[in-house]
Amino acid sequence: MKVLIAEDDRISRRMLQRQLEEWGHDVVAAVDGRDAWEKFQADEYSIVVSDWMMPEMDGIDLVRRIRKSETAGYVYVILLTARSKKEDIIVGMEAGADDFLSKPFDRGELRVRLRAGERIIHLERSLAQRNAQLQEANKRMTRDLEAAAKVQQSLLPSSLPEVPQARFAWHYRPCDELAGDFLNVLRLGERHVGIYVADVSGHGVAASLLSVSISRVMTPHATASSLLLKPDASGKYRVVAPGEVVAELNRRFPMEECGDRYFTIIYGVLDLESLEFRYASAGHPPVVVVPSKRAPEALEVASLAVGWVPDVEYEEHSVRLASGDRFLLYTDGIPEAMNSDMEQFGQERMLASIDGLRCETLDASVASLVRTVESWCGGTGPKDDVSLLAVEIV
Amino acid sequence: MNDIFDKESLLDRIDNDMEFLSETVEMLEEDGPDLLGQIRSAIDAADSETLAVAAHTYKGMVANFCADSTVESALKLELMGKGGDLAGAHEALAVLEDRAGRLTAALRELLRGNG
Repeated sequence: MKVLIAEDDRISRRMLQRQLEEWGHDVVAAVDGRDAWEKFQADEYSIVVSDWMMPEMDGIDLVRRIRKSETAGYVYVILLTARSKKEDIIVGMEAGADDFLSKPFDRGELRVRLRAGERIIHLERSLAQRNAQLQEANKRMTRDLEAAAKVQQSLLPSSLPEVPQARFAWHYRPCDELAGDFLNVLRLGERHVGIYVADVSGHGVAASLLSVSISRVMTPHATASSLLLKPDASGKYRVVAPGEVVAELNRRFPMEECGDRYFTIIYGVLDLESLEFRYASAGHPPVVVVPSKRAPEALEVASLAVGWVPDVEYEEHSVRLASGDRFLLYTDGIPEAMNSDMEQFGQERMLASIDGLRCETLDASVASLVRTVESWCGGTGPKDDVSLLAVEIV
Repeated sequence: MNDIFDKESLLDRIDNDMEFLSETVEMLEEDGPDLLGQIRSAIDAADSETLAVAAHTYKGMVANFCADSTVESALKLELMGKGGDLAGAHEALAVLEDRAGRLTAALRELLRGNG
């Protein structure tokens, strides 16, 4: 250990130095507090052994300066003193001394007190090393999370279908870096638009990885891997019925093969000619339909989340829409958003809010609903991912 | 056997290193008279503060030689200085000087191999 000693009496200083060097320490000796402070600033020391009473600068002042200074590691300070009164010990410790040693020093006592200091220094060094490793690991993980979040962003609509019959708006707010929610609006040929909102149980890396796998098969591109489009006997691709899509998802993503994760989803197809929205739900919160001249309505359906039970059939439901009608798909982050009293936002309040926003444009109503939920939650915001997708028939 | 310092403790403290003892005794011979001079001047000038500091330093110095009676004499002067009451300080200094002289002589004897 590199030890700085501060002692104005040169016999005491010499004896202390000799003893410390005999024990293998690298010792620098200062003739008083000021000299010690100068030497301390010019080099790095692990241990300082200082006399209390010294001319120029006493040991207490020296300790205070050491404690105020920026040091690479912890500096263990032992004050040499004939003082043993409680008040003196308090003054010394308040200044920042770690230990005391009576003068003239006893070799045995000096040895054990130095050992205590060395233990502290080693612990502090190992803690600092682990902190540095943790910080590095944290940086790496943050970089990975940021990269994963970018991948996840790519699962969201990059552009919305531009069709004369309908408008679309959406909002997505992960509560952590990575969400379990994802949604999309996909053009499926000339006549159809596929729409889904899904919510993988939990959030974070595991949930987001599963969301990536799911969205891969929810592709609008006519490929073999797409669940949404399948070639018929003539080789033309047909739009797969929502019930079939969700049932296939249930076959491909059983919970036990997905790290015990499951997901809820509503997948539907909007027929741009008939203005019929056919959909299937797997344990997902109900579609809210907002007819232009009637109150909003939540279309409750009973179904199981994807992954829970094998070979489940998913019933298809249908809504006939007309000009001015809207419908909303969302995740449970909206109705289950809690305020500070642990009260949920709830379906009733959600329907009332949606009703109150019907005069706003579709985009504005989506943004307003999200703001309403955020303000319900208060300062820290929603504790779950919040996703919302709204469609308006033109 | 002498009554001015504890020979066994001293030798144990320095691992019987007589060369090192010689080095420190030389320091005592060099620095001791200076400090005693400072103590005397402080007493003459009725400067309690300087007396306390000088006596404290001297006490720490001779304590290294396990010289309890000399330490005790220096402490007496240190306390006088701290208390600001220098009555009897000259007498106390005379005792200290006597013990200091005997300590140096006894240490020299030890170094000559006659301790």
